[in-house]
Amino acid sequence: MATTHKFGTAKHLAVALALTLAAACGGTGSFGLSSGDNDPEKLSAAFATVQAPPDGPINSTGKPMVFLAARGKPMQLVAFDLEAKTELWRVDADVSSKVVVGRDFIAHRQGENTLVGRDVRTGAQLWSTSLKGTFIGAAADTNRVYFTMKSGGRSWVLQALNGKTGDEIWDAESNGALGAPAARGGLVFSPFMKQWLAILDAKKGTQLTRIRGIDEEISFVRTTPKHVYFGSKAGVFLLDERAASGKRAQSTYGQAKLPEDFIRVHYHWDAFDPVQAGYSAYDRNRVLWDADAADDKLAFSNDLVTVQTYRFFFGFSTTSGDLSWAYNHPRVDIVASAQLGTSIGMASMLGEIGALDPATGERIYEAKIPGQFIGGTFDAAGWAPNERNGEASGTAAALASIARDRDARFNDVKKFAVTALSQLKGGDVTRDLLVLIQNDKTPPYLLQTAAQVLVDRKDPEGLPYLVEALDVRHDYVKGTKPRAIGIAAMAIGAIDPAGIDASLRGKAVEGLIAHLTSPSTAVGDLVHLVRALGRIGAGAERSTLSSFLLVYRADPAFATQIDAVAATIDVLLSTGGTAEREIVSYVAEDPLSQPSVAEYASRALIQRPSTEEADAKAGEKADAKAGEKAPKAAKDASGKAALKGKTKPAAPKQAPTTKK
Amino acid sequence: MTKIGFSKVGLGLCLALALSAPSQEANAQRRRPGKAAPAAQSELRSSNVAKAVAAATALGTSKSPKAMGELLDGLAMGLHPRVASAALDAVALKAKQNSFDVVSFYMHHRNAKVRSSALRVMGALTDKRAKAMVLAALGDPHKSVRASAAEILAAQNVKKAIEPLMSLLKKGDEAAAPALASLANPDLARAVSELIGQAPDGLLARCLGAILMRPDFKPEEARVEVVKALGKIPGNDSLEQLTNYVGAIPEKPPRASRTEAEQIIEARLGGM
Repeated sequence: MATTHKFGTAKHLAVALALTLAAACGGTGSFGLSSGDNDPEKLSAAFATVQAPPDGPINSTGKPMVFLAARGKPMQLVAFDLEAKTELWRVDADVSSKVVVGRDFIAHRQGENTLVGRDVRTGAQLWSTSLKGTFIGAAADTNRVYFTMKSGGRSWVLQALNGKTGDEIWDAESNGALGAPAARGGLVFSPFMKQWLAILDAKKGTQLTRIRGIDEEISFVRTTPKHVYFGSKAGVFLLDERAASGKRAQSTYGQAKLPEDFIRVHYHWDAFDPVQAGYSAYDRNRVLWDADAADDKLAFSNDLVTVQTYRFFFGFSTTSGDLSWAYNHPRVDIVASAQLGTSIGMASMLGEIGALDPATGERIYEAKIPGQFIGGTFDAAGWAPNERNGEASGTAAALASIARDRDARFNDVKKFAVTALSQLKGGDVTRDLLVLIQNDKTPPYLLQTAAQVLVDRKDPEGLPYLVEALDVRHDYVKGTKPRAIGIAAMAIGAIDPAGIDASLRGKAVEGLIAHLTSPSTAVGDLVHLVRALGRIGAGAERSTLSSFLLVYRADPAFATQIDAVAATIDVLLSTGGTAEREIVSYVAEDPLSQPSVAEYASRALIQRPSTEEADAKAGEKADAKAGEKAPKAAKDASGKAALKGKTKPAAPKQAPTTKK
Repeated sequence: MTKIGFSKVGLGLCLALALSAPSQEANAQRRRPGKAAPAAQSELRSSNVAKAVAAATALGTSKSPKAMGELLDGLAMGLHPRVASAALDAVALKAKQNSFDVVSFYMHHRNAKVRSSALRVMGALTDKRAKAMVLAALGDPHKSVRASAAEILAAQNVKKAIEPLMSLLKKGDEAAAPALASLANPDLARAVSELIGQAPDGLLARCLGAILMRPDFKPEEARVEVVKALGKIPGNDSLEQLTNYVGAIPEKPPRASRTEAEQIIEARLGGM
């Protein structure tokens, strides 16, 4: 026989203000607005009634299971034994909510207006009950199903049914919004008006106590075999005796530090959003975590949380926000996932079932079930598969594969992956970035990020890959075409030359020269090649750069795009000697030089005086000071010498080989 | 502003350019009095491009021993691309071995016309490095340069060119057809015939047609095979090649290949 509790008399209050006023006026029962909040004694008393649930799966088979909703006409519900890798049963079922699991039963909404219970061992329907309102969410414990509905304009109800028979046990009405419940060990937890967490006796539906969130709203409640958590997007409270304070500082509270680039932080499904009561895209964008109390704070297990974004999983340190690992599931989205303590269970839309090690992201389980799936529920707490094949692809490879992913939905994730790559050590990262940069299908924004990351790395260990990139030359016959030469040159130029092995430096210079002198190289890339040669050439670049300058100084193609020629002039003057300075002087003076090139050369010569010129200038200044006291004749002589030194460059050390 | 003599720059150039200086012999020649082209010498480096081009051309035909040195010096110091092209064409006429170092840089010039001119110089040199550069030019990004290279290699009967030319044929590069036709023996003709379906039909037909038209392409059995291969190529191009062949070969003495070609033409036209 059902017991009905009706609490709160403000049924007709239509606005929150009036509701708040009602709260001030008092009220009693499960969801009264003025019942006692944050009472430590009542909370302790409620905890004293808890019967610890099983550590492992709640279902009576004891098997770790996943229940998957399969797309199709008709839709189907499938039970899969994770340990035996066996499909236990498959039944036609129009599943329209998340499946909740009890000891001998499971329950889910079916179609629009029906809640059904099924035998957990066979999938056979045990009972059904019609829903007279908007389904907000459901939960189950060993013996009972609890579900919340919005039954009218401002009327919500939390109801308890016998899990095996579907008989109603109690209901509790409310004039304020109720969220999806959770249940554990004889207690039912119901978020109330986003401000309270009501704790009810699971047998009777009476409120035992409640927590009022003082610092932040309460938009979710989550149970595991060990704990009950509640909180919001801002953070997670552990429901322990300290939670009676309702304040973060006095509670066992924690937040994971996460990068904001692409992550929408959802510590759990929003209890007040009916959409999230079903399988939806929210299941594919989640933060998966396990936590315990440590030093009066909530400590996430291994200091890690896992962020799922569709096919991608990232492990982040909750204290630093640093990426710890990444996993890229091939091709299709993961539609169901769960933090199971010692593993992260997951199921793809194509029925690939897997598990990841939450500490490393390594895949530790694989199975397959036929069909296409929209979502699923794991009942597998403590499940710890260990099918390691020793072929962990590694974080760098996972990030690179994410960055290269062709799915256009994930641009933010890809950008994050590229940035994360930059923080990893090792030459392999350079290789992965190069592959991304050299891929024609990489979108421009990502290419730009990857290029910047590659250059910023300044990683000598990546030089072999950069040299390898330069080894590809344009050949129409062979069909080879170098890619991203300018970016590779920039990356080479950014590396500290002191850290480069001599033989590798030689190969790099050879490659840079080959591309500088190749007609296929894009004009825009030339400047980067010149600068890189200037940086690491150690003199081996001078003859080529001199040739380059002389041959193209008169070319109208470089009249308006003088970057490369200008960079050549800069390099020759800064790293070269007398001979290179003479060449630049010649370019500045010769009428065949394009005017823009000649002008640049003239200015560069002034800005970078030769050693002799600099000495002479310094001498002039010294003489000017000394001359104030020196005899006039001596002053004239030093002035002429200085002038001579200034206007004539040093004579070449070798005799000219061409005569005019 | 610093003023320096051209000869000093010449040194800097030769040090820096990786263009080795003209040989001692060339230098000696330049120093020897002889019939020069004084106007051409002075105008090669004129800022008037037309005059400079004319000067380069004149230096090419000049018998003065100094002309080659002038051209190489001009190229080494840098010229307007049109002048450089003319200067290289002029150097090609003289085909001196000492031009390799200067000209090799121009083999990679960004202007395709300049590269083609440099290629002609290399084609005229006996240096192995020069021959390798001509062969490599088949992979040049510009089709005009590839065409020049193919022409030179075919004329010099360079067998090493066959493989890259076959690749070019498959890619539809026009220059490959006449070059392969020129190099073809019966084995190569058979290999070309096997490219039906892999190379563009028209290009393949023109290649096989050009092989047929070579009077020195023998024996008759090989010609018949080529005719049959042409018969297998769909489209009007093959028909045109066969018609050209029939038209170019006298009826007598009778040739099996001509008869075969006639039969194919008749069958094709009859089926239309």
